[in-house]
Amino acid sequence: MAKEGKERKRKRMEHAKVPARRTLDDEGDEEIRSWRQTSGGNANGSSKSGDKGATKYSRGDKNVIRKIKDKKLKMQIKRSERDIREAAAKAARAEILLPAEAGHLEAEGMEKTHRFQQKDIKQAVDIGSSKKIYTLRLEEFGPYSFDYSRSGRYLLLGGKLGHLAVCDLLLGNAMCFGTHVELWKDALSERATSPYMTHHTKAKQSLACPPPADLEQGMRVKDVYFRPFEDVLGISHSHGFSSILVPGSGEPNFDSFEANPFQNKKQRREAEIHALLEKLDPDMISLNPNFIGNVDTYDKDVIAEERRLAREENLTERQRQKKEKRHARGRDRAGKRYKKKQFNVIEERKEDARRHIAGKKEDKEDKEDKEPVGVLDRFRVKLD
Amino acid sequence: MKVKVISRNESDYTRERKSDIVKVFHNPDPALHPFERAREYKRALNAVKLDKVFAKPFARSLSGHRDAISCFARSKQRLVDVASGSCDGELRLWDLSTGNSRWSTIAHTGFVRGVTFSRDGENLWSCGDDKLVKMWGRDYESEVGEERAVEPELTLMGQHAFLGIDHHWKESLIATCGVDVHIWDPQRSEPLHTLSWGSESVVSVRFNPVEHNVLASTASDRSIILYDIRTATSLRKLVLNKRSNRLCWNPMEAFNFVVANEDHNLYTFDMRKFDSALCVHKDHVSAVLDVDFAPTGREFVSGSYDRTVRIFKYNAGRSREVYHGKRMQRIWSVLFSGDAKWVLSASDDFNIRLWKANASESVKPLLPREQRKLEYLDKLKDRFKETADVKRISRHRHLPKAILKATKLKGIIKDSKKRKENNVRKHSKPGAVPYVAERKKEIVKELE
Repeated sequence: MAKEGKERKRKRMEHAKVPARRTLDDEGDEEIRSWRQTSGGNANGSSKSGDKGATKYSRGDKNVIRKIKDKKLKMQIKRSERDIREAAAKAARAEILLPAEAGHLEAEGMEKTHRFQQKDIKQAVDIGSSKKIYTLRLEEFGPYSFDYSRSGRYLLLGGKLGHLAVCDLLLGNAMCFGTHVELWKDALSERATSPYMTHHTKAKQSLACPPPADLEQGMRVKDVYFRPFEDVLGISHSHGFSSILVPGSGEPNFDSFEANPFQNKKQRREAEIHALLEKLDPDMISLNPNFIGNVDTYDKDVIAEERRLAREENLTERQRQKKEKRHARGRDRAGKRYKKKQFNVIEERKEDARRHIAGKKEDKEDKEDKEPVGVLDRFRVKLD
Repeated sequence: MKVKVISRNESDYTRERKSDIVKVFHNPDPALHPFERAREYKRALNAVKLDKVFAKPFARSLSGHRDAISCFARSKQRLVDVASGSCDGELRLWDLSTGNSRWSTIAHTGFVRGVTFSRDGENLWSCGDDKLVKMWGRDYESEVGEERAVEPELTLMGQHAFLGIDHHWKESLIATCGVDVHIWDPQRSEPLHTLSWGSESVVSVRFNPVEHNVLASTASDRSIILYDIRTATSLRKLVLNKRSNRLCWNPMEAFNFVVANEDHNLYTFDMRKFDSALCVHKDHVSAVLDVDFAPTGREFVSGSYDRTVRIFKYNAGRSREVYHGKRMQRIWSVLFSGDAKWVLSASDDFNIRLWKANASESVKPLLPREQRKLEYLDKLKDRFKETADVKRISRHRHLPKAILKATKLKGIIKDSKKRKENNVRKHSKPGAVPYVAERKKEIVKELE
């Protein structure tokens, strides 16, 4: 049974606006700012006064403490606000401990950054990075769509004519490729001996080796994505797929528990289990996933109405489960109870009968209306 | 041209050998943690569910007594030493680590009414219906279950039957209660002081753990009395509506104490302010017979005639935990262990039961990472404790039908009384029926 009250509330909460956290503007904020300025890196807290970069680690507006009358609650909220502030400050301070720094590209003298060619960059960077500039010539089954995995380690390519490939970009090889796609249902059960669905195309070709190359003139670009945690931009075009270096485009520091490019097999398995355990409920997936844990400050009447609906639903359900009470001790027989119950049961047959009787009555009345009956009417001569 | 691109050396991010620990990198940037709050909520929900799965509070039963157990005491020096006295006069010393009794003896004729350890934990004092107070050594070379006539090291004779006993926290002084409160010096055969304030019988007596010379007692005339043994005088008296069965000082805030009352509730009082209770602890559905504080002073355990053991936070009106067993009978005595991790209950069914203070806590020592994870989950549970599902799941406890019914009935009675009072108020002169705070309702009078 759909819980109407709950449903309504969910919809309402989903569309509720959550204000962005106000910027921290007290002494704690100063502290964060100063630390961020010294830490450098990709922290965008390097410049102006009134810098909003310090709020990178804050998570929404502060609570207004002034108006709270309950002393205990006031203290609790004060303390939690202090903890939040300290956590943000500490996170900002710990930025200098992050292992990697963001890339950058600077022009010297008369140079202009937009004039730099990939071959110039390639000469200037280390060998490992220079290998990230390449083009896959995939002209036969293109144009290709592509996407990077969340950690940026894997690349999925799909040609319009049915060619598929998954590449491990860390090891630099294609994990699997071909023209044949099998979809397995319940793949881990013993019963599954054949795929659920297959998709096959006639094309036969393996992936070309990556030739180093620059983008050519006159190509049609289809998709463009940045590779996560790398200074790399992937481009799929009419000639295949190209990867180019864009210094400063990527986040240099990943979080192992979110997306780890160097994940080993055991870590991957653990992560899969945790992802399943922490899978969000369908009613939590919304435009504003932060509604959970917020205080419902909506109109009182609306909240009361929702509660009333929920209560009524529960009530009817409970009443349905409730056993019939036995009053009238001694005189209470099963047959009688059954009859009593039947009295209020609305049946089609009964309804018909009732209508029939009512109809008859009406007819009679109509007749009576036409011909008023008097005492001496019986002696009237019928005129036919 | 100055150029720098992200370039990672794989060996910096992976382990060299399988025996090394896996390298882990954190980045607290919120942009890398999408749906953070929703996921943490889900984690909190999973954590409270797992708490339910792992809730196995009953650890073991200490059996050996052949009659109902009437009193209990733990050593102030050793975690494993617990002594218990039963209604057939038997006294037993238990070793909690093994669950065996180290020795036992028939200490008194009739009930053993009270038992306590000396401050050094080497001696054991007991008192009983036979008007005797006896001191026992801790170490006797007796086999388990052996009926050897263990002799008391000291015997003091009183005029009347005793109902309770407690040892001073610093000096070698004993306080007993019965018709009066007596302070004994073991060197003398007569009591040092006799303290009384118009009561028929004093049912419990406890020394203050910090102000060592302050003594509190509860009596059958419904009173709670404070004494000072330096001047051998009584200080204050508080009379409640019903009798308080036992009293326990908060070891960390030693000016506060809690009493287990006959009216199903426990009351926390500040010894300096008797005009109002600090907190009324409700949930039992029958007389509360015993109460004991954890050494941390954050929680206390109570045992009741309704056959349940409950654990309360020191400032909470409702219990956080309830323990019951199919065959567990009336609880006469309860005890918190010295490390605040265990709870003991002694009942009518001749058994002492050992429970975990936190039902779902692991008994084995935890790895630091496990410990950190649990702390993180505790924090999450705390953060989302007010959300509907987390609240419902974490608060739910299975209760025996009789107790559930009694609880509901109590609710109905309470509502009815309230309704009636309101009706009376409505039809009286304004102000004639004043509102009385719950914390003041049970107080009859305060005497100095």
